Amino acid sequence: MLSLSQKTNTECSAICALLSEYHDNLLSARQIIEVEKHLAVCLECLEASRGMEAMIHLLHSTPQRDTSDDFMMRLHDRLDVLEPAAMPALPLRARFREWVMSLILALRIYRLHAVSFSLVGVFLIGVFLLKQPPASHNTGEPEGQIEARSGLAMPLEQNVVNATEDPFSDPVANRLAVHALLSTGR
Amino acid sequence: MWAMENVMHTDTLLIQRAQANDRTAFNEIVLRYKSKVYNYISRMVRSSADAEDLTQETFVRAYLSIHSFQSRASLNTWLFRIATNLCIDFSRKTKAHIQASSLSQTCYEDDDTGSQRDILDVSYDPQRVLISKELGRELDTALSQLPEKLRTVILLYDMEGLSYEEISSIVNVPLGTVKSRIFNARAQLREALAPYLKGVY
Repeated sequence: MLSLSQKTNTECSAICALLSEYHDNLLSARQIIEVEKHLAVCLECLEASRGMEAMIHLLHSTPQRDTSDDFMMRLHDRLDVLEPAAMPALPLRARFREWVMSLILALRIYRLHAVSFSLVGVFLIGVFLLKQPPASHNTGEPEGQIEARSGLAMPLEQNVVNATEDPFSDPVANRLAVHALLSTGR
Repeated sequence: MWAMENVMHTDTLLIQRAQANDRTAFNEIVLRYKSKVYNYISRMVRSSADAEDLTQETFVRAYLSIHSFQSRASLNTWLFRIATNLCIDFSRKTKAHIQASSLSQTCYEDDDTGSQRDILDVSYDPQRVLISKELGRELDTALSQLPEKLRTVILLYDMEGLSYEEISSIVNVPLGTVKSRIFNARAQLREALAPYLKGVY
């Protein structure tokens, strides 16, 4: 069981640990209420909070420093010397990666436009798909191929029949013989 | 939010142009960021001459490795990462842990020569300007006495306005560590400047 003073010390250290984020507005609403409730009753923590606030204000309002007037000129002199070795060509993969990254960045920046275009695209694809006629449920073989195949089958069947009737006939020899007969007949 | 994204978009375009060997684009990058980088480095190393050299070195390194820059990081973060690494190397090499007694060689002396300009916090009340300058000097001393790890995060967060996430990627530590370092840095500065701060609030 904690005594009252121990409890207060624990609470004070817990609140003091939150003061930095409290002044940066980074706490949740619940934490803010806790801090403010404590500051309303604890003078020491209130003093610490004011000190922290003044400290942050001081850091934020510290004068900005700038470079000397000849900074750019001196930098140019240095860069001029470096220039020949400074620009190696990027490999294709790195360039592609850069391109993808810049595309992602552009999509992040123009998020609303990208979402709108995607929705319109999905809608158009949906409309296109709905307009397509339903696919026929046959064997999957095109009709032209079946016809061609039957056309090819006919001479083969005829040959089989011929071969069955006269197994020793030679179609080429027969044609030559007919040709010779016709020649002599003339 | 939109403004920040537009800045990032402009930066991306500038980088793409710089990667295509466009020197004008690189010059524009330097003009956009030189003050921020110099302001940060000058509070890390304190000597204005060293700060200017390191700022130059930051942009030379950026120029040399602009092709390796990937759009995943922001240009701001990338430049501050280069600057932070240079400051760490510098302090390792020269062991330049600035003491309060070395103020005679600091940027404040250069203030009188005109190489440094006060852009913010200029008030017409002479008394307030005096307090501000004295406080500024004390703040610089207190900052220089902070450990380097704490000084880096407090400068990046409170003076350069970077987010916890950006600082986490620059100093390569988890987000929780960044938060605790910022808290510790502020607490130490508050303690160091307590007598002066009482007059402020």
